Amino acid sequence: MPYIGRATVTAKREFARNMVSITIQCPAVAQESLPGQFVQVRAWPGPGTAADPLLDRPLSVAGVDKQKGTFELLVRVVGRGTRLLASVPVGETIRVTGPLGRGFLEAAGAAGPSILVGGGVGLAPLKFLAEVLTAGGHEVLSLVGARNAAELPPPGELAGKVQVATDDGSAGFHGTVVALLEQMLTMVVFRSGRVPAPVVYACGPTPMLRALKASATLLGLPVYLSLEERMACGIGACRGCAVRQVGPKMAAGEVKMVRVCHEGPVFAAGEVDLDA
Amino acid sequence: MPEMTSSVAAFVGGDGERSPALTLPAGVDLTAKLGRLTLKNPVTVASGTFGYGHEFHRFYDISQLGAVMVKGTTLHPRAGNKPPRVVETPAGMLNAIGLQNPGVDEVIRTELPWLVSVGATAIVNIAGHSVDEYGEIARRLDSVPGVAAIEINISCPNVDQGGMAFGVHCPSAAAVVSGVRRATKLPIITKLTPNVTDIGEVARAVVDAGSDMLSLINTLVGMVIDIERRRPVLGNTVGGLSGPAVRPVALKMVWDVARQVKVPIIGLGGIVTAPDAIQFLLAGASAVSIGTANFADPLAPLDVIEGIAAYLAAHGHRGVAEIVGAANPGFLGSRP
Ligand SMILES: Cc1cc2nc3c(=O)[nH]c(=O)nc-3n(C[C@H](O)[C@H](O)[C@H](O)COP(=O)(O)OP(=O)(O)OC[C@H]3O[C@@H](n4cnc5c(N)ncnc54)[C@H](O)[C@@H]3O)c2cc1C
Ligand SMILES: Cc1cc2nc3c(=O)[nH]c(=O)nc-3n(C[C@H](O)[C@H](O)[C@H](O)COP(=O)(O)O)c2cc1C
Ligand code: FES
Repeated sequence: MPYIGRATVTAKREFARNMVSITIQCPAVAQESLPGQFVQVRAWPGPGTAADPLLDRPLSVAGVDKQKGTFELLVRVVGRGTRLLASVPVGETIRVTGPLGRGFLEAAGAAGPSILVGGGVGLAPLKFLAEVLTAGGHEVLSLVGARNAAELPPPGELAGKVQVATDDGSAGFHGTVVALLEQMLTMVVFRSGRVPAPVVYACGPTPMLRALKASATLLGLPVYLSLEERMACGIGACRGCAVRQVGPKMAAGEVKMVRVCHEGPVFAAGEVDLDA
Repeated sequence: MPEMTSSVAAFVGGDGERSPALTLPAGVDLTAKLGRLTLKNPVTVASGTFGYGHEFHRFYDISQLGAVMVKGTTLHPRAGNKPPRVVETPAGMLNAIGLQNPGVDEVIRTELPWLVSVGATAIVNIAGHSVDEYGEIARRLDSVPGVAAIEINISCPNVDQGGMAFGVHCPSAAAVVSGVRRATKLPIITKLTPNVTDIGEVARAVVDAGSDMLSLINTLVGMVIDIERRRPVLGNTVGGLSGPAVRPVALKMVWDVARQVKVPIIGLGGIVTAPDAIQFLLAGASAVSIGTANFADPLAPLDVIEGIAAYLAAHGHRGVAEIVGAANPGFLGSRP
């Protein structure tokens, strides 16, 4: 059962440019959360007294400290809701509902050597995933993309190996993370058959996910994507976040919708229509 | 927001922080009698905002609700509209779900038995493309255990064919209701659209055609344009506006309709708190529905139930019916 109730902001720090890390005391969410799951956050009064903004905001769980009973959010301020959240002082409470949705490893079914691909706020669930995978003794390589060096997270924030790519070439690979992945994979590290093929996990803007789906399919790698869709309830009730299911499991002519907030946000790349 | 007296402010709630169990004062009977339909309390949850109840049952026991209006059910499964399907607006939201549902047979096979198993009172909201289709859905539901009533949705703005088209003209609205009337002995609630010039006229037409009750309002048609991409935000271009933003409009419509028909009315549109709900009861609604508020506060209906009970107790009433229409001098319905 997801937790719903107040939780205290215990720490805040700048994680990268335009991204703040917020630590929240909430043992239920800290205990239960799996990488890829999210919480609905309300950093303003309930709809009975303040209907502006009306809806909670979905944010990925970026890490947990089970001992301390805290979890972390990585938030990019893009509008009113995220601004209100980012300005909550340490010591104040917000309302949290979660954890919600299905995480990366539940979608994949098993953990093994992994390549994590993402950028921007897409790093939030990947940071948590990298921690869990490395703690489980699995090899992890994260490919982190940003527009420029200043927007990259500082070194050491992500568990496991990290390679970076920037659009302007100011750090690491000059180009997109998907291009970086392609270049690496054509070097045939693991296709010799001696090393188990890694699973690719990604979170980021839809165009990136689309490009990744296309190239990873070509390379024959299993890919799991965390999607973002506009949400109202965040708990599976309204069908507002539905995307179309595709793939071999579907009968001809069958139309089936899956909810990003409930069956997702993580899906096998071949399982969802990213073009709608 | 107008100043609230302290007795009312005490039970505003709406923050999602409360026990999942109800605490009710002694000596107040919350039973809502809507003609042949009796509900354990006057607080229901609105179609399309509650799925089939599973999601909310994780937070609280949904058998505590007056009734659950399930998602709009069609004869055949529907995938719904393309995304984005929802967008937030000031104190409200637009939705264009497009009646995504698994079809009436699947609802009968899996969802209704589940609702019965948890003790919930289920009202099935139905939508069709033709008068015959509405009748056929009603016929299939007629003898299904656990269906307390049928709510005819002639007011969905989000499907190209049928839906709201039936609800904006008196003859077609009446034809749908007569068709359903012939197909079932279950109590019929007709859900009215606010997207009309004179809602009273449609209300009278569907009551004459045999509707046992009315519910109002469905959503108001609206849209949002993304100025950078220079195109509508919703995949469906337009959607239905709901939430606190529509409440004054909904309340006025309930007020008007309550002066024109004698049948029980279920009032909805933007209700979040008990004081909101009480306004609808005072205007002439015998029961209310909570819709969009469920998204922002999954426990909102519980606050509303408790708040209504507290209000009744504080004002020396023993039952809900005593306040129905109490603020509306032209209220036509009966009050014990
Ligand atoms: C499953 C999921 C996980 C997410 N995880 C993170 C995270 O870890 N860190 C982070 O910074 N952001 C994350 N986001 C995006 C975040 O929810 C939006 O940036 C936020 O809702 C914007 O709210 P706002 O009021 O600041 O902006 P506004 O633009 O004012 O928001 C207006 C409306 O649009 C919705 N909206 C705006 N942008 C998005 C978006 N990209 N996706 C979905 N809805 C949106 C809002 O929820 C709101 O209803 C996630 C989104 C989803 C769906
Ligand atoms: C996401 C969403 C889906 C809805 N689906 C239906 C539906 O299937 N059938 C129906 O009669 N009304 C539907 N409605 C309308 C609501 O039941 C209600 O009439 C309307 O939202 C106004 O009430 P509110 O402001 O409390 O939400 C839907 C509303 C929303 C927000
Ligand atoms: S946001 Fe309501 S079903 Fe996903």
